[in-house]
Amino acid sequence: METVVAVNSDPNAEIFKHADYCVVGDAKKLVPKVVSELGASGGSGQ
Amino acid sequence: MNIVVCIKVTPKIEQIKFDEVKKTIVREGVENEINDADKNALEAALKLKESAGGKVTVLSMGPPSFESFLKLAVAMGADDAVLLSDRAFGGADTFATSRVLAAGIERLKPFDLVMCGEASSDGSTEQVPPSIAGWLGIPHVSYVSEIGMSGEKLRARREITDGHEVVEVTLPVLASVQLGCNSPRFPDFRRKRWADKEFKLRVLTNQDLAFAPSDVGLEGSRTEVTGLSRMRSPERRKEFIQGTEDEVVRRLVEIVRS
Repeated sequence: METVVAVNSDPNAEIFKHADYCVVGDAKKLVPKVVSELGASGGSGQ
Repeated sequence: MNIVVCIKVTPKIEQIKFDEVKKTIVREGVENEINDADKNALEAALKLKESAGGKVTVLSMGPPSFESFLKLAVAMGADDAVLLSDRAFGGADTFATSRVLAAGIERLKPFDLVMCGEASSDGSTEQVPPSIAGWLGIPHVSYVSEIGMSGEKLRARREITDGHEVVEVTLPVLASVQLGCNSPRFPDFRRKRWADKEFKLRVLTNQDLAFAPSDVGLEGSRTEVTGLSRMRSPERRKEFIQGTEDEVVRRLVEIVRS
């Protein structure tokens, strides 16, 4: 099954009830960092 | 400018339930409301009337008890209201519903513009507006978020993927508007009193529309719901990741890799 990661600045966001991993924060800052980390080490491409 | 706005009376969203045996939406014992997107259509029609002049008529199909919702639309500013009501119309799918609504609109000729909400909150097929346009043989503009006149033509803004489009179309035309594209006004208090006490709703039955019973209602429907299943969201871990931004990024990278 797929894994759902939710990033939202609101700790009570509805999406957190439907996610496997929850991060309270700014998705616009966080996601590019994760993507670049994955790219830098030649992510699995999946 | 003669505008007809089609409104559907739907169960309040939080009360929408399905009869799993009959495979229908439960319409008894629930509180109703005017479908939200249809209120957006009415608001857009009232605004256009304010700038271009004319008349707004609301039209609905349903049992006599829907009168109060049509009166509510009148209290919001509609000039007239027509209810298409007959036992023969009951149990209709989108095909039979759009057919009866189109016949009702024909009775309101001459009309320039027909407006609908893009979808109902209960059935959500989005089929009725284009089907009405089909029966009437007029163009249909979908995903509309704004309307205005440009000379003799209707100018409509359509929301599409990655942007919007502005189209101009000759009248008569049907426009279906997006849910939430405007803020529907509240009913005017004095107008509401007038609508409740003095306004006379026009009711058209199948005696007026003269359909063969096999063309309308359940008999005139082409859709058969053969299955109904409940979607349950899968159980999730709901694990909160905490720490400094770098720690969180590192953990997320691990999760994506795993």
